[in-house]
Amino acid sequence: MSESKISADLLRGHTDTMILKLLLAGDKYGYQISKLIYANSGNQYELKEATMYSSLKRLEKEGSITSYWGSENIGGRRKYYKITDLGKNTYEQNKKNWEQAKQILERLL
Amino acid sequence: MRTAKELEEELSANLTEKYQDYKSKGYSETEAYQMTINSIGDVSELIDSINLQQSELEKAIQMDFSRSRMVNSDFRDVSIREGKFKGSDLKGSDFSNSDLTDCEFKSCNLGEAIFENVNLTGAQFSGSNFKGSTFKNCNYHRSFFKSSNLTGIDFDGQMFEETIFEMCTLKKASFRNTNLKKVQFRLSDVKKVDFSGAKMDKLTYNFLKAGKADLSNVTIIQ
Repeated sequence: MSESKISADLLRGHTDTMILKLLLAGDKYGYQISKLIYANSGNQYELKEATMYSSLKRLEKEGSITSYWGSENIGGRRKYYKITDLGKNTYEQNKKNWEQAKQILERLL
Repeated sequence: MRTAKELEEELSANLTEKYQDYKSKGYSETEAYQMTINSIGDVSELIDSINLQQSELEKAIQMDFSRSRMVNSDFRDVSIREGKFKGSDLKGSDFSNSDLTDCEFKSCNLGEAIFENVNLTGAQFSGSNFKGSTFKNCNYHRSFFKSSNLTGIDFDGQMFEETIFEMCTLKKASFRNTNLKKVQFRLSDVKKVDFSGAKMDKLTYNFLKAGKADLSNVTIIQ
Protein backbone atom coordinates (compact mmCIF):
# COMPACT_ATOMS: atom_id res chain seq x y z
CA MET A 1 0.00 0.00 0.00
CA SER A 2 1.24 3.43 -0.84
CA GLU A 3 -0.53 5.47 1.78
CA SER A 4 1.53 6.52 4.77
CA LYS A 5 0.71 5.49 8.31
CA ILE A 6 -0.54 8.97 9.18
CA SER A 7 -2.93 9.39 6.28
CA ALA A 8 -4.26 5.88 6.97
CA ASP A 9 -4.99 6.97 10.53
CA LEU A 10 -6.74 10.09 9.26
CA LEU A 11 -8.85 8.04 6.89
CA ARG A 12 -9.66 5.37 9.44
CA GLY A 13 -11.49 7.94 11.52
CA HIS A 14 -14.03 8.18 8.72
CA THR A 15 -14.63 4.49 8.19
CA ASP A 16 -18.22 4.66 9.43
CA THR A 17 -19.07 7.45 7.02
CA MET A 18 -17.40 5.70 4.07
CA ILE A 19 -19.39 2.55 4.74
CA LEU A 20 -22.66 4.46 5.15
CA LYS A 21 -22.08 6.21 1.83
CA LEU A 22 -21.61 2.88 0.04
CA LEU A 23 -24.72 1.44 1.63
CA LEU A 24 -26.77 4.46 0.52
CA ALA A 25 -26.43 3.05 -2.99
CA GLY A 26 -27.66 -0.42 -1.98
CA ASP A 27 -27.12 -3.37 0.35
CA LYS A 28 -23.65 -4.83 0.39
CA TYR A 29 -21.61 -7.55 2.08
CA GLY A 30 -18.27 -7.07 3.81
CA TYR A 31 -15.82 -7.95 1.09
CA GLN A 32 -17.83 -5.99 -1.46
CA ILE A 33 -17.47 -2.92 0.76
CA SER A 34 -13.72 -3.32 1.09
CA LYS A 35 -13.31 -3.85 -2.66
CA LEU A 36 -15.33 -0.70 -3.42
CA ILE A 37 -13.37 1.37 -0.95
CA TYR A 38 -10.11 0.23 -2.54
CA ALA A 39 -11.39 0.93 -6.06
CA ASN A 40 -13.11 4.25 -5.22
CA SER A 41 -9.95 5.52 -3.51
CA GLY A 42 -8.10 5.05 -6.80
CA ASN A 43 -6.41 1.94 -5.37
CA GLN A 44 -4.78 4.07 -2.69
CA TYR A 45 -6.56 3.04 0.47
CA GLU A 46 -7.10 -0.49 1.66
CA LEU A 47 -9.52 -0.81 4.54
CA LYS A 48 -8.33 -3.51 6.91
CA GLU A 49 -10.86 -6.24 7.67
CA ALA A 50 -10.61 -5.71 11.41
CA THR A 51 -11.29 -1.99 11.05
CA MET A 52 -14.20 -2.59 8.72
CA TYR A 53 -15.86 -5.22 10.87
CA SER A 54 -15.56 -3.29 14.09
CA SER A 55 -17.11 -0.35 12.24
CA LEU A 56 -19.92 -2.54 10.92
CA LYS A 57 -20.60 -3.97 14.38
CA ARG A 58 -20.63 -0.45 15.86
CA LEU A 59 -22.99 0.90 13.18
CA GLU A 60 -25.27 -2.08 13.64
CA LYS A 61 -25.40 -1.61 17.38
CA GLU A 62 -26.24 2.09 17.15
CA GLY A 63 -28.99 1.21 14.66
CA SER A 64 -27.48 2.93 11.61
CA ILE A 65 -27.43 -0.33 9.68
CA THR A 66 -29.08 -3.73 9.89
CA SER A 67 -27.81 -7.05 8.59
CA TYR A 68 -29.20 -10.20 7.07
CA TRP A 69 -27.73 -13.42 5.71
CA GLY A 70 -27.83 -13.89 1.96
CA SER A 71 -29.00 -17.15 0.41
CA GLU A 72 -25.81 -18.14 -1.45
CA ASN A 73 -25.34 -21.84 -1.81
CA ILE A 74 -21.86 -21.95 -3.26
CA GLY A 75 -19.12 -21.03 -0.81
CA GLY A 76 -19.87 -19.44 2.54
CA ARG A 77 -23.00 -17.48 3.29
CA ARG A 78 -22.66 -13.73 2.96
CA LYS A 79 -23.93 -11.26 5.48
CA TYR A 80 -25.44 -8.20 3.87
CA TYR A 81 -25.75 -4.78 5.42
CA LYS A 82 -28.57 -2.33 4.87
CA ILE A 83 -28.64 1.34 5.84
CA THR A 84 -31.51 2.51 8.06
CA ASP A 85 -33.15 5.95 8.20
CA LEU A 86 -31.07 6.66 11.27
CA GLY A 87 -27.99 5.68 9.25
CA LYS A 88 -28.96 8.11 6.49
CA ASN A 89 -29.20 10.89 9.07
CA THR A 90 -25.87 9.89 10.57
CA TYR A 91 -24.30 10.01 7.13
CA GLU A 92 -25.68 13.50 6.39
CA GLN A 93 -24.51 14.74 9.77
CA ASN A 94 -21.02 13.23 9.42
CA LYS A 95 -20.70 14.67 5.95
CA LYS A 96 -21.61 18.16 7.25
CA ASN A 97 -19.16 17.80 10.11
CA TRP A 98 -16.44 16.84 7.69
CA GLU A 99 -17.13 19.81 5.37
CA GLN A 100 -16.89 22.08 8.37
CA ALA A 101 -13.67 20.47 9.65
CA LYS A 102 -12.16 20.62 6.18
CA GLN A 103 -12.76 24.37 5.96
CA ILE A 104 -11.20 24.94 9.35
CA LEU A 105 -8.21 22.71 8.57
CA GLU A 106 -7.61 24.46 5.27
CA ARG A 107 -7.42 27.76 7.12
CA LEU A 108 -5.17 26.36 9.81
CA LEU A 109 -2.77 24.19 7.86
CA MET B 1 -21.41 -16.60 22.04
CA ARG B 2 -23.59 -16.18 18.97
CA THR B 3 -22.15 -12.86 17.80
CA ALA B 4 -18.62 -14.21 17.81
CA LYS B 5 -19.66 -17.35 15.97
CA GLU B 6 -21.49 -15.39 13.29
CA LEU B 7 -18.62 -13.00 12.90
CA GLU B 8 -16.29 -15.94 12.36
CA GLU B 9 -18.51 -17.31 9.62
CA GLU B 10 -18.81 -13.90 7.98
CA LEU B 11 -15.08 -13.19 8.13
CA SER B 12 -14.05 -16.56 6.81
CA ALA B 13 -16.45 -16.33 3.85
CA ASN B 14 -15.15 -12.87 2.95
CA LEU B 15 -11.49 -13.77 3.36
CA THR B 16 -11.91 -16.89 1.26
CA GLU B 17 -13.40 -14.80 -1.52
CA LYS B 18 -10.59 -12.28 -1.24
CA TYR B 19 -8.01 -15.07 -1.41
CA GLN B 20 -9.66 -16.47 -4.54
CA ASP B 21 -9.63 -13.01 -6.11
CA TYR B 22 -5.90 -12.61 -5.48
CA LYS B 23 -5.28 -15.99 -7.02
CA SER B 24 -7.35 -15.21 -10.11
CA LYS B 25 -5.28 -12.04 -10.51
CA GLY B 26 -2.28 -14.32 -10.95
CA TYR B 27 -0.73 -14.40 -7.49
CA SER B 28 0.63 -17.70 -6.23
CA GLU B 29 -1.14 -19.50 -3.40
CA THR B 30 1.51 -18.42 -0.92
CA GLU B 31 1.37 -14.79 -2.05
CA ALA B 32 -2.42 -14.75 -2.09
CA TYR B 33 -2.52 -16.26 1.39
CA GLN B 34 0.00 -13.77 2.74
CA MET B 35 -1.83 -10.80 1.20
CA THR B 36 -5.13 -12.00 2.61
CA ILE B 37 -3.67 -12.39 6.08
CA ASN B 38 -2.02 -8.96 5.87
CA SER B 39 -5.33 -7.38 4.96
CA ILE B 40 -6.90 -8.40 8.26
CA GLY B 41 -5.06 -5.76 10.23
CA ASP B 42 -5.27 -5.28 13.94
CA VAL B 43 -7.64 -7.91 15.26
CA SER B 44 -7.56 -6.50 18.77
CA GLU B 45 -10.01 -3.73 17.89
CA LEU B 46 -12.40 -6.32 16.58
CA ILE B 47 -12.08 -8.40 19.71
CA ASP B 48 -12.66 -5.27 21.77
CA SER B 49 -15.88 -4.59 19.93
CA ILE B 50 -17.13 -8.10 20.66
CA ASN B 51 -16.12 -7.93 24.30
CA LEU B 52 -17.87 -4.61 24.59
CA GLN B 53 -21.07 -6.16 23.33
CA GLN B 54 -20.69 -8.99 25.78
CA SER B 55 -20.18 -6.76 28.79
CA GLU B 56 -23.04 -4.50 27.78
CA LEU B 57 -25.22 -7.53 27.45
CA GLU B 58 -24.30 -8.64 30.93
CA LYS B 59 -25.09 -5.22 32.29
CA ALA B 60 -28.43 -5.24 30.53
CA ILE B 61 -29.43 -8.50 32.13
CA GLN B 62 -28.76 -7.34 35.67
CA MET B 63 -32.31 -6.31 35.61
CA ASP B 64 -34.57 -5.20 38.33
CA PHE B 65 -37.89 -6.99 38.35
CA SER B 66 -39.05 -5.51 41.63
CA ARG B 67 -42.71 -5.09 42.47
CA SER B 68 -43.77 -6.51 39.19
CA ARG B 69 -46.58 -8.91 38.54
CA MET B 70 -45.18 -11.65 36.42
CA VAL B 71 -47.55 -14.53 36.98
CA ASN B 72 -46.77 -17.52 34.74
CA SER B 73 -43.75 -15.82 33.19
CA ASP B 74 -41.47 -17.70 30.87
CA PHE B 75 -37.88 -17.41 32.09
CA ARG B 76 -36.73 -20.61 30.38
CA ASP B 77 -33.15 -20.67 29.10
CA VAL B 78 -32.48 -17.07 30.11
CA SER B 79 -29.50 -15.76 31.98
CA ILE B 80 -30.47 -13.29 34.71
CA ARG B 81 -27.26 -13.12 36.68
CA GLU B 82 -27.53 -10.75 39.64
CA GLY B 83 -31.14 -10.00 38.78
CA LYS B 84 -33.24 -8.51 41.51
CA PHE B 85 -36.78 -9.55 42.31
CA LYS B 86 -38.41 -7.76 45.23
CA GLY B 87 -42.04 -8.26 46.00
CA SER B 88 -42.60 -9.83 42.61
CA ASP B 89 -45.48 -12.15 41.97
CA LEU B 90 -43.91 -14.95 39.97
CA LYS B 91 -46.53 -17.58 40.64
CA GLY B 92 -46.37 -20.44 38.18
CA SER B 93 -43.32 -19.03 36.36
CA ASP B 94 -40.99 -21.40 34.59
CA PHE B 95 -37.26 -20.89 35.22
CA SER B 96 -36.11 -24.13 33.60
CA ASN B 97 -32.56 -24.19 32.20
CA SER B 98 -32.01 -20.61 33.32
CA ASP B 99 -28.99 -19.13 35.01
CA LEU B 100 -30.00 -17.33 38.21
CA THR B 101 -26.49 -17.01 39.59
CA ASP B 102 -26.36 -14.44 42.40
CA CYS B 103 -29.95 -13.38 41.88
CA GLU B 104 -31.87 -11.94 44.77
CA PHE B 105 -35.51 -12.78 45.45
CA LYS B 106 -37.07 -10.89 48.33
CA SER B 107 -40.67 -11.34 49.42
CA CYS B 108 -41.60 -13.03 46.19
CA ASN B 109 -44.41 -15.38 45.42
CA LEU B 110 -42.80 -18.37 43.73
CA GLY B 111 -45.72 -20.71 44.32
CA GLU B 112 -46.03 -23.40 41.65
CA ALA B 113 -42.88 -22.08 39.99
CA ILE B 114 -40.73 -24.55 38.05
CA PHE B 115 -36.99 -24.81 38.66
CA GLU B 116 -35.54 -27.52 36.43
CA ASN B 117 -31.84 -27.57 35.57
CA VAL B 118 -31.48 -24.10 37.05
CA ASN B 119 -28.17 -22.67 38.11
CA LEU B 120 -28.94 -21.27 41.57
CA THR B 121 -25.33 -20.64 42.53
CA GLY B 122 -25.24 -17.88 45.14
CA ALA B 123 -28.93 -17.13 44.61
CA GLN B 124 -30.70 -15.68 47.64
CA PHE B 125 -34.33 -16.20 48.47
CA SER B 126 -35.84 -14.49 51.47
CA GLY B 127 -39.39 -14.19 52.72
CA SER B 128 -40.58 -16.04 49.66
CA ASN B 129 -43.29 -18.59 49.10
CA PHE B 130 -42.56 -21.82 47.23
CA LYS B 131 -45.83 -23.60 47.76
CA GLY B 132 -46.27 -26.24 45.10
CA SER B 133 -42.98 -25.38 43.35
CA THR B 134 -40.91 -27.97 41.51
CA PHE B 135 -37.14 -28.29 41.97
CA LYS B 136 -35.27 -30.72 39.74
CA ASN B 137 -31.59 -31.14 38.97
CA CYS B 138 -30.57 -27.63 40.10
CA ASN B 139 -27.22 -26.34 41.21
CA TYR B 140 -27.59 -25.14 44.82
CA HIS B 141 -23.98 -24.17 45.43
CA ARG B 142 -24.04 -21.39 48.05
CA SER B 143 -27.77 -20.84 47.51
CA PHE B 144 -29.42 -19.18 50.48
CA PHE B 145 -33.03 -19.75 51.48
CA LYS B 146 -34.13 -17.48 54.32
CA SER B 147 -37.49 -17.22 56.06
CA SER B 148 -39.14 -18.91 53.13
CA ASN B 149 -41.97 -21.34 52.88
CA LEU B 150 -40.65 -24.62 51.49
CA THR B 151 -43.49 -26.75 52.80
CA GLY B 152 -43.78 -30.06 51.00
CA ILE B 153 -41.02 -29.35 48.47
CA ASP B 154 -39.44 -32.38 46.89
CA PHE B 155 -35.65 -32.03 46.68
CA ASP B 156 -35.08 -35.75 46.18
CA GLY B 157 -31.90 -37.03 44.57
CA GLN B 158 -30.26 -33.63 44.19
CA MET B 159 -26.92 -32.36 45.34
CA PHE B 160 -26.45 -29.50 47.79
CA GLU B 161 -23.20 -27.80 48.57
CA GLU B 162 -22.75 -24.95 51.04
CA THR B 163 -26.46 -24.32 50.78
CA ILE B 164 -28.09 -22.50 53.68
CA PHE B 165 -31.66 -22.88 54.90
CA GLU B 166 -32.37 -20.31 57.61
CA MET B 167 -35.64 -20.01 59.48
CA CYS B 168 -37.44 -21.83 56.67
CA THR B 169 -40.60 -23.83 56.92
CA LEU B 170 -39.62 -27.27 55.65
CA LYS B 171 -42.64 -29.18 56.88
CA LYS B 172 -43.09 -32.37 54.86
CA ALA B 173 -40.21 -31.39 52.59
CA SER B 174 -38.24 -34.28 51.24
CA PHE B 175 -34.47 -34.68 50.79
CA ARG B 176 -34.46 -38.39 50.03
CA ASN B 177 -31.28 -39.77 48.43
CA THR B 178 -29.72 -36.33 48.34
CA ASN B 179 -26.07 -35.53 48.66
CA LEU B 180 -25.47 -32.82 51.27
CA LYS B 181 -22.13 -31.14 51.78
CA LYS B 182 -21.62 -28.31 54.27
CA VAL B 183 -25.32 -27.61 54.18
CA GLN B 184 -26.61 -25.53 57.04
CA PHE B 185 -30.11 -25.81 58.41
CA ARG B 186 -30.27 -22.85 60.77
CA LEU B 187 -33.29 -22.40 62.98
CA SER B 188 -35.39 -24.33 60.53
CA ASP B 189 -37.85 -26.95 61.59
CA VAL B 190 -36.40 -30.17 60.23
CA LYS B 191 -38.22 -32.62 62.50
CA LYS B 192 -40.65 -33.75 59.82
CA VAL B 193 -38.28 -33.65 56.88
CA ASP B 194 -37.57 -36.91 55.10
CA PHE B 195 -33.81 -37.53 54.78
CA SER B 196 -33.94 -41.25 54.08
CA GLY B 197 -31.11 -42.47 51.88
CA ALA B 198 -29.28 -39.12 52.07
CA LYS B 199 -25.52 -38.90 52.13
CA MET B 200 -24.11 -36.04 54.16
CA ASP B 201 -20.93 -34.78 55.69
CA LYS B 202 -20.38 -34.31 59.40
CA LEU B 203 -21.23 -30.61 59.45
CA THR B 204 -24.60 -31.14 57.81
CA TYR B 205 -25.27 -34.10 60.10
CA ASN B 206 -24.59 -32.02 63.19
CA PHE B 207 -26.92 -29.24 62.06
CA LEU B 208 -29.68 -31.75 61.45
CA LYS B 209 -29.06 -33.59 64.67
CA ALA B 210 -29.32 -30.35 66.63
CA GLY B 211 -32.62 -29.75 64.85
CA LYS B 212 -33.83 -33.18 65.96
CA ALA B 213 -34.22 -34.47 62.42
CA ASP B 214 -34.81 -38.15 61.83
CA LEU B 215 -31.39 -39.38 60.72
CA SER B 216 -31.97 -43.08 61.10
CA ASN B 217 -31.45 -43.85 57.47
CA VAL B 218 -28.58 -41.57 56.36
CA THR B 219 -24.94 -42.17 55.49
CA ILE B 220 -22.16 -39.96 56.75
CA ILE B 221 -19.49 -39.20 54.18
CA GLN B 222 -16.19 -37.35 54.34
